[in-house]
Amino acid sequence: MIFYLIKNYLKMMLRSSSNILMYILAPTIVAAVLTSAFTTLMDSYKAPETFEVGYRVSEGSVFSNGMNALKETLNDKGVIMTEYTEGDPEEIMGRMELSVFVEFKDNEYLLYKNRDARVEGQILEYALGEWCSYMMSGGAETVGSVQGVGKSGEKTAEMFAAITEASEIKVEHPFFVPAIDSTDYYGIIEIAYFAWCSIICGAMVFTAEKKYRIGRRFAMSGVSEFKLYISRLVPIVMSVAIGLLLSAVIGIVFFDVHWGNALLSALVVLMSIFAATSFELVIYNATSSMVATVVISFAIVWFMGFFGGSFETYMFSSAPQVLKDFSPIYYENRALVELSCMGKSDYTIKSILISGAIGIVGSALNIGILKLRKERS
Amino acid sequence: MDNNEIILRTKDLTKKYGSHVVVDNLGIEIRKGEIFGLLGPNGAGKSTTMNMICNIVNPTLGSVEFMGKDFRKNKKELCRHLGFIPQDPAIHGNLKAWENVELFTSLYGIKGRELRDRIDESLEYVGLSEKRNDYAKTFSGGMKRRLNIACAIGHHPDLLIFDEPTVGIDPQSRNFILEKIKQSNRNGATVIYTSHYMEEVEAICDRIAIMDNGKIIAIGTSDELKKLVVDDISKVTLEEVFLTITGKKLRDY
Repeated sequence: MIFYLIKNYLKMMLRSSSNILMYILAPTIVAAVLTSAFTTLMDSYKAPETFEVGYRVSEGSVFSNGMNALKETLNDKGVIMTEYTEGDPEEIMGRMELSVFVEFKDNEYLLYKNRDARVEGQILEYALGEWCSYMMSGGAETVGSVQGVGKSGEKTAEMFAAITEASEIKVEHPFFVPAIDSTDYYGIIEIAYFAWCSIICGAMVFTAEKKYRIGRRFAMSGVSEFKLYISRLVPIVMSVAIGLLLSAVIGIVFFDVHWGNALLSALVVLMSIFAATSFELVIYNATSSMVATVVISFAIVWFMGFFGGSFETYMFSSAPQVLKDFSPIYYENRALVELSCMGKSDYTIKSILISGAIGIVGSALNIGILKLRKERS
Repeated sequence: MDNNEIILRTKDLTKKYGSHVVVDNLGIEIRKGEIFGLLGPNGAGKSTTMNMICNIVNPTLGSVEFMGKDFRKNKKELCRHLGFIPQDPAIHGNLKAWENVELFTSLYGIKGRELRDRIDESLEYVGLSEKRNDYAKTFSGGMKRRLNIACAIGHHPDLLIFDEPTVGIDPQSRNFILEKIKQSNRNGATVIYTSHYMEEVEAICDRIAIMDNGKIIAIGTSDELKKLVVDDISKVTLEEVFLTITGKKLRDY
């Protein structure tokens, strides 16, 4: 039964021209507009081809043995490391016009960043963070990328050969601004944003269903609330996913958008469609009004997108971090952007878990509301 | 056919919305194999009664016994024996005719080859085989009504409930639908039929109930109802009987 329900609902949704407009063309158009609007701003954060870093290593530091290898690797990426054995780091930075200075102490390092060279500082933070993570894991395969400067995947086992036992190194994971241009950023982010507008996909079908009182046929057939809910959820998720996939392909082919890890990115977006659909169906089932559902959903999604970086980039947004943290779109955006430019992200799992939790709670609420409505009819 | 076998019985069926009693302790018995007409002015409680019979609306009090069993307690088993044809076509315009029949017939657990056969059979029955691949939104009013019927008969119900199926359609379509109702009945289906067209009810129904203010106020064959008003039944129409029993006052619902 459920197969035929899903199949026919999917057909109706895919046949709707408004859905094509909403999920294929709209993300492309909005991404193109925002890309052109923010190109200059984001270009100012582009990493330089090469820059110089000052450093000092304390005697007996756990970092000291690997320093030559680190220097060589970074040098290959355009980061020139120069040692300064004496003097105040800030004074040296001013005198030598350095962007960044690193003090490697016994088992921790201290990073000095020039305010005017934010990107260089963050690149080094990321590189050192990766280096320390590598050392702590005791691995010997790759250190990942020095983003914005070079390409990822280069083996640097040699670099750490001498300090494989440095597992006590204290490192706080650095905040990292990914080197991403506006085309990639908005090409990706707008797909994620429109994933949260999934209820539009079912709007025409549900409105017609209500208008022609088709629900009576379902009610008298004895179909369970669970099947009824699934028969709405799955076609919406599938058709929105298909539409956004096509939109992403347009972005890749015509605008050269880079998704990085496509598989994980697809999973992140798919989970967010699930969360959005479930959440918006709760509103629809609670209000029984598609107009109210669209207004409420879009208002919430707009605020989530506003604080989550769907319009202004989350990296340079002045919105308080606590508001960003409350937006599921923020986690999704960070995951997708970092997957695009780094190939991995700590936010991938977070985003998937948050979306999954919203989706599951929403599903339970939907089934509960449908049962309650049935009992009260 | 056993004329005394009861296929559907309502006991003290009551529906209240707040303090407003829409259906009031209704007790009717529908015999297996008959065409039972349900008449009443607007707001009499016909639709609510049918919605309760079809399990679309829960009664405030009372019960519906269908095929000898309590409907609410045996819903899964019994719902497949019931077919409801609503007044306004409950079909999806963005689906083709066969897809509509597939969608609604599949709700009763019919699938695969059997489902395909039932789709063909239902569309053939309502004369829409040649239009099976056309979208329902392109259909005329009469064709939509026929498709509406096809969507309700695919699972071979024993009891068919028609809610004013001929409103607003041309005489040809109307005649076709009435013929199909009679044919369904000849094939063994019991029919509950509501309409405001008295001549239709008189022509096809074996028994007729007149409902007003949530209660059955008269029940019997057409002739029996006429005898309630006059001795010489040839001098009165069913409509006159209806107006005499329910009154001529306008019902503003």
